[in-house]
Amino acid sequence: MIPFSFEYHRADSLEEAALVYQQIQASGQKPIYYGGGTEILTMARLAQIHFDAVIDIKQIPQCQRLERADDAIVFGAGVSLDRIGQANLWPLLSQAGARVADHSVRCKITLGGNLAGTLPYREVALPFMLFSSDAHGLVFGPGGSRDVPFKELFNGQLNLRPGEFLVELRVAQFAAEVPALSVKKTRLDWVDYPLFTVAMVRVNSEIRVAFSGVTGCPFISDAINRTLSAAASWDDRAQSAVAHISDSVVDDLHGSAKYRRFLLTRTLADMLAKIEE
Amino acid sequence: MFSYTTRQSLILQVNQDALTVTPRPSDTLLYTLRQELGFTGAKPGCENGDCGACTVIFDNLPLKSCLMLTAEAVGHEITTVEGLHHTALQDAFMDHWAFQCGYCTSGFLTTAHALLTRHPDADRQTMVEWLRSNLCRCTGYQEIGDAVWSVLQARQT
Repeated sequence: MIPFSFEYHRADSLEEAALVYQQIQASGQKPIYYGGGTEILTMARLAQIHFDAVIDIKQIPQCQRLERADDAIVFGAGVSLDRIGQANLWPLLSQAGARVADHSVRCKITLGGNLAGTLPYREVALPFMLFSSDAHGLVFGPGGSRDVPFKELFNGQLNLRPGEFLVELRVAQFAAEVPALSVKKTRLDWVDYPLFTVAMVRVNSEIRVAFSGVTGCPFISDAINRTLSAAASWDDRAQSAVAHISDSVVDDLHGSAKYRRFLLTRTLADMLAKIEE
Repeated sequence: MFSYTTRQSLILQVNQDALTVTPRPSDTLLYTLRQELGFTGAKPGCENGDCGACTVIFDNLPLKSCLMLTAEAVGHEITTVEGLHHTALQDAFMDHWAFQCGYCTSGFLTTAHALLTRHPDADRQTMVEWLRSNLCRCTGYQEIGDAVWSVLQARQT
């Protein structure tokens, strides 16, 4: 049982959502936008967050887009990870999303919720980080809508202005046509928080990799990508790539930093072998 | 815009009946199903989205009812384990001894029933992926998997 009361508002349009947010805020109360709500409800039950109203945006038609449009693929922020996997418009995103939580929870977790949550993993960001020059987000707020390049929208966490929410993400169609892999490693159980998740693509001869769970937030590194794209054995490239990662590798009960580095090296070598076969 | 700001009457579609409830806006669907409607088949376990004991069928998909507000459920079809009557799946659970203490059983049944509806052609890997959403602390996974698989196989032949 959630130990405090709050209002529930389900918006039918982008404008309605932003307006009710402003009205609640103007009355001195704290509103939050609500997608799948899985993290919000679990944190509210434990009184780890407090708010006065939730504004449910997931049924707004623009937040439910899941389609190819022109030369891009559009993913509404309110679409569940299960639906993304079922539609499979971008297999790499499907793979990355398919290892978040468990199947039943993925029927509720939304794309926007995974990016906006407080958990540090945000695995569905990884595919977009690999194509940051060809990915954009649409956000909406008190000032109307803004089209934002993904690299500005997300740098380990979602960068939104006060009162804004994510409406959709778009990526160029070619992103779905290159060799790609997503691998999640856990300590023991299949369903668990990750030791790390790695997404890798090969664009012509260039290897790009994005990481989650290795350090405090998802990251991508030009230096690591150059190392992995160089002419050397899979093992040598993997070792050199991991050597580029700073000392801030996560060290916790799931796995020590040393173990994460070891497993990451093996995982990168295996992924290189697979993607270059 | 649908706004639910104080305790009022709402209508939920549960087990093909339109039922009136008066929850707080912050009440979860699990709480309302159990405390207001008496559908105690949805079990409170972790209330954190991990164990699956509270799973119900929501628009033909499995849903952990601790992870949904009651107000969110307005306009959607909900089926609890009480809405399943003498299904082949329930018989298979008995035939395969697919329960011990029984606390997780209703969650497994609703998850598996949604699987049968959504993917009657599911392969074993898909079945396992769906059933991974539920925990059995008696560790009866082998028997539960065998029970669900027997129904899938029977429907696929």
